[in-house]
Amino acid sequence: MKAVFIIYHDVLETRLTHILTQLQIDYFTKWEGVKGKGHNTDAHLGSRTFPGLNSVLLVAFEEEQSLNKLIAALEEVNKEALREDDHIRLFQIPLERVI
Amino acid sequence: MKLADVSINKPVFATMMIMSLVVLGLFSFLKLNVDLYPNVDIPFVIVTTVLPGAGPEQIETDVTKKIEDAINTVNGVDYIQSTSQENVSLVIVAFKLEIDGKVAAQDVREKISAIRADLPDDIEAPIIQRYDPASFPIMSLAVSGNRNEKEITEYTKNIIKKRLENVPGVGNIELVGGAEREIGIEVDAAKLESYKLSIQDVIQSVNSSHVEIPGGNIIQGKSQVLLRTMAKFKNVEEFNNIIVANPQGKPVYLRDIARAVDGVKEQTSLTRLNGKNAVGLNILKQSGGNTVDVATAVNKELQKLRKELPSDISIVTAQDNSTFIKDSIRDVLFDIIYGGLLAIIVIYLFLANMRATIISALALPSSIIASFIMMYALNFTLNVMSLLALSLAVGLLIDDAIVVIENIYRHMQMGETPFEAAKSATEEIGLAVMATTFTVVAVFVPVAFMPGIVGRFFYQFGMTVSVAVIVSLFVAFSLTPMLSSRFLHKEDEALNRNGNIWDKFLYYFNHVFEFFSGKYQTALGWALRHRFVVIAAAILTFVGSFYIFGLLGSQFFPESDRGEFYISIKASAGSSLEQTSSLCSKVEDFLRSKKEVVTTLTKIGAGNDPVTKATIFVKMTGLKERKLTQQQLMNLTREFTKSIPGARFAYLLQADVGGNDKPLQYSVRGDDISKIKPIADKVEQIVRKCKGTVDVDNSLELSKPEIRITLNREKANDVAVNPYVLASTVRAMVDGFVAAKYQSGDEQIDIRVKLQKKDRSDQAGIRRLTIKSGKDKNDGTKMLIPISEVANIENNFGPSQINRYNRKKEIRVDAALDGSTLGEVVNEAKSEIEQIPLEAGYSIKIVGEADQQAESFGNIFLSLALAIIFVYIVLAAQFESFVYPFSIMLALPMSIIGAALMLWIFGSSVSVMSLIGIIMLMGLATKNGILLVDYANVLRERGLPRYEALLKAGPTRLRPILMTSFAMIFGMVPVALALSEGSEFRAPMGQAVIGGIITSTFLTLFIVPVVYTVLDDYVSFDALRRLRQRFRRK
Repeated sequence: MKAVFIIYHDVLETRLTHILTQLQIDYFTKWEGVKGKGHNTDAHLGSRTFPGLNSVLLVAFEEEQSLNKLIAALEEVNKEALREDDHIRLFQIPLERVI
Repeated sequence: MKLADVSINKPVFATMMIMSLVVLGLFSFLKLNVDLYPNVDIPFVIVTTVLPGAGPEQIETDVTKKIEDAINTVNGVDYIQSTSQENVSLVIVAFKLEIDGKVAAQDVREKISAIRADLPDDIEAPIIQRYDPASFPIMSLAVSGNRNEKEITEYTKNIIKKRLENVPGVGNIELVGGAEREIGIEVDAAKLESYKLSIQDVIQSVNSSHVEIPGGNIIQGKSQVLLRTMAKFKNVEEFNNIIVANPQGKPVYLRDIARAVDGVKEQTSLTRLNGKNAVGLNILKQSGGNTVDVATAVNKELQKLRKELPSDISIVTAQDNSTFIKDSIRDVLFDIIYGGLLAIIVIYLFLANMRATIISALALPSSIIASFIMMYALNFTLNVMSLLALSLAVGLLIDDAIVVIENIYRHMQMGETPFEAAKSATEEIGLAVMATTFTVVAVFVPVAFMPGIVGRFFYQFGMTVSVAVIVSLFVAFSLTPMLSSRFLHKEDEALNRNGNIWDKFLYYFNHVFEFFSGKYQTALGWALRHRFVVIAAAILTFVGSFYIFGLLGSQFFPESDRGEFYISIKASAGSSLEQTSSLCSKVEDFLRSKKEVVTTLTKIGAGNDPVTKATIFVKMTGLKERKLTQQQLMNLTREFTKSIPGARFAYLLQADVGGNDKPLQYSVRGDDISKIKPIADKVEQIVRKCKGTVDVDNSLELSKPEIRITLNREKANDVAVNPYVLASTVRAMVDGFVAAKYQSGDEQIDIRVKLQKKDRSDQAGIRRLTIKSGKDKNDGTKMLIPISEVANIENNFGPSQINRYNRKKEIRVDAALDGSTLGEVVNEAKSEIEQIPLEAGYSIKIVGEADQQAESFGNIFLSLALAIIFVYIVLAAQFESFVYPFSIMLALPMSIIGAALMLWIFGSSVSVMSLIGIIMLMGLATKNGILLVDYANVLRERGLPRYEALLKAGPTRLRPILMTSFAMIFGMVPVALALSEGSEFRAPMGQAVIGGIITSTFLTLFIVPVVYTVLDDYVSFDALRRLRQRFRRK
């Protein structure tokens, strides 16, 4: 079992929703208005100095097929982005138990 | 930025928000009334009291003084001014502006009714009027034709006037000039004497013979019937059969001593249109009515009427205020549309992107239309002031949208998607945009609440601009980012060097801009390294602006060429209507010989004026169709009238905001007119010597010849004649007495008993007049005594007018100006006038326009100070700093040099309009500094050192700074150039703003960053010092 944290600029919300719908992933936990900064990217702190906010999705997968499809779709989106700043980040971690 | 996020995420909601404003705005617009100026309540109350037959001195003692004393106790009186002239007392009470005009009028009414018993019995009821713009005619018509005057007057009164009175919105119609019908009982003095009768007998017999008295009701069965005694004559001839007396059973008929004539009232006024006698009709609207609507309805009715008129009668519209209002509104709309278009072209040049241009341009109509909601809610009208606000705000309203879209565009160029750029760019620039808008509001709100009459006129102006810019801020944070996120495309960005000529132009324009942007960065670097040179240059520039201001003259309101003016004529005292009329004819003939003159409308003895006073209204052809300017024609006519002896001429401009009087007025006051006169003469000499003064005059009317009948009380007592009997008999015989009313159709016509003309035309005739004594003769009848036996009759001279100010006698010295401004003349005359020795109780005060100018300028400077304080408050609150606002506000003095220079180049002067322009600049000049400092702060917060942050912020914000500045400048070009007729009065405002923006934009690009670093050093140094002190204490 795997779990992923997907962190993205909230302007990509519609795009993410579309991908999840297409991949029939209807199980996730979402945090909106999350502040943060990545390596070599602008900070998204919701202020006029560092405008923009992120959203975070936590998705757990029992089998890897769906996860791989999701990663492929996200990489496709990232290819289209002109700036690294606009890339969607995915952090994959092992999931030990689900109750 | 919550609003922007919601709008971007919910585009339909955002669109509907703006749509609702636009729809409401459009409906409000349709309901807005159109007027020339804002409806300002000026609490003036005018008390007019007529005492027929009384001279100025009697009027002053018996009427004016008593009224003044009574009114003086009313709460809130500012000053009382009065004129006592033949028959009429005119008391003008000016209340403090905070007093409600209606309450003031009511208070005055109560005071007058309380002293009514103290006033002479034979006064006509005092007319107490509140100053109400609705009480001025909106149209003047002239009816003329090939019939005698009485017929034309009757036709005008019974047909034309009645038809026009039924037009919706028409409040009242005044008949001016013409010959009004009157039944005259013209008594032959010799026959009256031979029958041993007095004129009182005639009056009494007419009065008692021509009656209709209700006799009560009688009950007939079940019904009630009215009983009336019908003894009114049906035709004029019947009056001749009245029995005046019946001595020894022999009746004396009226025809034996007099004749009844169906004639006209003795003419005391005259109206002439283009040299032809006419009957004037002044049309007044109902209070609160719309001038344009009423005039349109009247014109429609006139069109119908003209078709029905007999061929020998014609109606000409001599004056129509609605035309001027419509023209003014059209001109301001022209300024708004052309200013808006020019501003949009500027955006397109800089952004080179049609979609971005359209998105930012949408802010303009939506803000203007939404402002109409507030205008309707606050009961504003579409008038010159509210529309001037919109025309000046054109360049401002687009600013917020420009700044937002430019930043979105810049973010897109950095690689962000339109959606992302719309959000982040709006977030980043939000504070700066809010700060710029609120500084503009901070400046215009004090203008709206400026004290004084000028403040009242500018209330709608200030409020309209404030609301419009707030709406533009709302649009910039909702519609602009939403549309940008949806419709801006990256592919639009590329400038095509090889495209058509327009593409090439845009390409090179933007490359030139980039070139200058680079140069600016280099220059800014130099400035930051030579800070004290830059600061010294700024100080020098500011000092220099005072020098240039010193070169400018000052005036209350700028004059404009509207192609209309008035000539006020005072014929020598004692002149008859015919003499005044022939004098006017000479001037009219001269004027009509000029092809530039379209209309001359002459009114002699209008209203309560004596027959010696006349005005000629001159209307010229359109500005483009004539060679002579209004001023040139006035000067030519002035030269011509110098050759006419025995009259004084004054040239007045069309009633302006500043009033209709001559601009320069000195009031010399005291108790004794003989002591005031030499002082006034000295003032007059000084004013005459001043360069540029014309039509110098004083209000002391030349003495008017009069015949004084002084009662010899001893002789009068012997024959039982009292003064009242003498005075009333003389008045009845000479002026006449209305004994009854004659019914003709539904009209009541005066029946006036008086001596026939030949018996009252000279002093000898007056001497022969007889009065009835109280003593009986042997036969039981009363004795008739010639006036000369009980009174001394002598020729004398008396003042024809007595003026008073605050219950002291006053002579006013006034002058018009040609080639000099009011400020220049006042300054020139000041020292000499101050040297005139004055006894205690005597004073020389400057009044009129110069006084209003001084008061208004004072109020404007107060508003200016308030504006600066509010700007600081807004900036400190927005930037969360007590110090940084100073670096931004340093742009304010930099704008003044440009304003002064531009006014000097255009030959304009310091006036209310140019000073309001300078106040506006206080809001506009801070904008550039805000954009610059705000971004420098953002960059420093992102970690850039101060020097680098400023070097990056300057060139980055150069584009929006230049875009907004050019949009503002081009938006105001139509106003500044006074492209439309009569718009010169608002031009200095545009000129001051354009000049100020040019210099403040250029100078603030360097001075603001330099001062920012100096203040930053101080703040850091100060903070460091305090820190050290704290450590030492420990």
